[in-house]
Amino acid sequence: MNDNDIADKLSKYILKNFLFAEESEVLDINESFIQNDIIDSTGVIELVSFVEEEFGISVADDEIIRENFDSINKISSFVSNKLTES
Amino acid sequence: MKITRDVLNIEPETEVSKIQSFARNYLLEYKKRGYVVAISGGIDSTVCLYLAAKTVSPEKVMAIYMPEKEIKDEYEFIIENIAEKAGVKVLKKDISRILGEFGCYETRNQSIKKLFPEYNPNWKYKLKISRGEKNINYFKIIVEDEQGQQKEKRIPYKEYMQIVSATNYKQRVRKNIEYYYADKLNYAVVGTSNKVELDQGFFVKNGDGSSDIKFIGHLYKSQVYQIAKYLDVSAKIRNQTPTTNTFSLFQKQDEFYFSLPFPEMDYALWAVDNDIEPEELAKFLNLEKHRAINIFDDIISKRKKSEYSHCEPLLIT
Repeated sequence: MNDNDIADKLSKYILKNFLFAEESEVLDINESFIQNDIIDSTGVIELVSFVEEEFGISVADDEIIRENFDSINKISSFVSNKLTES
Repeated sequence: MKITRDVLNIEPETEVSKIQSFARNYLLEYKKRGYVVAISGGIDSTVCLYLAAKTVSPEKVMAIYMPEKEIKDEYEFIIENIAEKAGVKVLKKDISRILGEFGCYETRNQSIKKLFPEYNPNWKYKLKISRGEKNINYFKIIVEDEQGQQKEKRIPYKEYMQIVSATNYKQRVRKNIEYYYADKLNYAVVGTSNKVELDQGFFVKNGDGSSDIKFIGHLYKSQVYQIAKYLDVSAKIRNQTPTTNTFSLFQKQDEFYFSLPFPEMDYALWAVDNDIEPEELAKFLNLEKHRAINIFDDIISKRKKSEYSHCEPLLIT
C-alpha cells in the first residue's frame, strides 16, 4: 500500500464520517484538522482507532501528536512509516 | 493588566448580597416557592446550599444527597453536618438501583473488560487525561484489583465513548430527581458548577449542567472558597481536595480533566480572559514557557469544545 492509497482511504473516511460529504469531493491533504476546526480532540481519538483497525498498526501513546495526526498528509506519512517498519 | 496573587480576591459580603438579590428575584419572576439543591459533600454544592438557605428560609430549601454504590460512605457524615449547619433537612436517595436498571454499571464494565479481560466488578477504576504534545488530549483508564495492584491503558474510541456515556447516567439521573422535587414543590433548581467548570465544559449536558439558576457559575474556584469562609463552611470541607466523585478510584479533578490543579487553574483561566501573555503566566506560576503556551491552547480548545454542551437546541428559522 503506497502513500496515495492510504491518503485516499483517510479522505473517504473523513468525508463520510466527519464532513457528511460525498466521497467524490476532494480534500486538501495538507489542511490542518485542528487549526481549521474540522476535528476536535475526540475526533483525533477516533482517527487513531480508525488507523489502528484499518491499517493493522499499533499507535504508541507518545505518537499521538499533531505532527502525526493533524492532516491527511501527516497521517498518511505516519501510517506509511509504521507499515514499512513492520 | 498584570497578574498578581490578589487578582481573584473578592469582597465576599458584597458578592453574597448580589447572589441573594439575583436568587430572590428569580423566584419572584418565575413564581417559584423555594430552591432544590443537590449536595455532594464538596465545596461548591455546600456553598450553594448555604446561599439558598440564606436567601429564603431554610424550610424553603430542599437538599438532596444522591449517593451510589461507587461513592465512598465517608460523605454521609459530611452531608449530615452540612445540612444541620445550614438548618436544612436533607433527603438521601441512593441511585444505585436506578443506575443498575439503566445498565450504567454493566455497559461500562463491558467496555473495561474489552481492555482488561480479567477485570471484575469488585475492581476499582478511574479515567485519566493524558496530554499529548501540542494539545492532543486522550484518555487512559486505570484499574485496581482486589490486592491494590494498578494497571493502565489508553482507551480506544468506541470504549471511551461507551464508558463516558454510561457514566453520564449518574449526573442525568440525579438531575431527573432534582426536577421531580422541583416540580412537586414548585421550587427552582440550583446549578452548583463554578466558572472554571462551566467555561471548560466540565459538566454533563442535561446532567449537572442543567439548572434554573447558577449561584456560583460566575465565580472562580478560589472565589467560591472565599465565599465559603465568609459563610463559615467547616474547615473540613474547605480543606478537601476537589474530586470528580464519579469513579470508584479516588481522583482529583485535574487528573481527569483540567490542565492544572487548583488554584493554578484559576489563574491560568484568568490570564487567558485578561489577555495576559503565556510568558507572564509562566513566570507567575513558575512554569516553562512552552508549558504555559500548551495550557493556553488547552483552555481555548476545551472552551471551544464546551460550546455544544452550553448551546440551546437550534431552531430552524
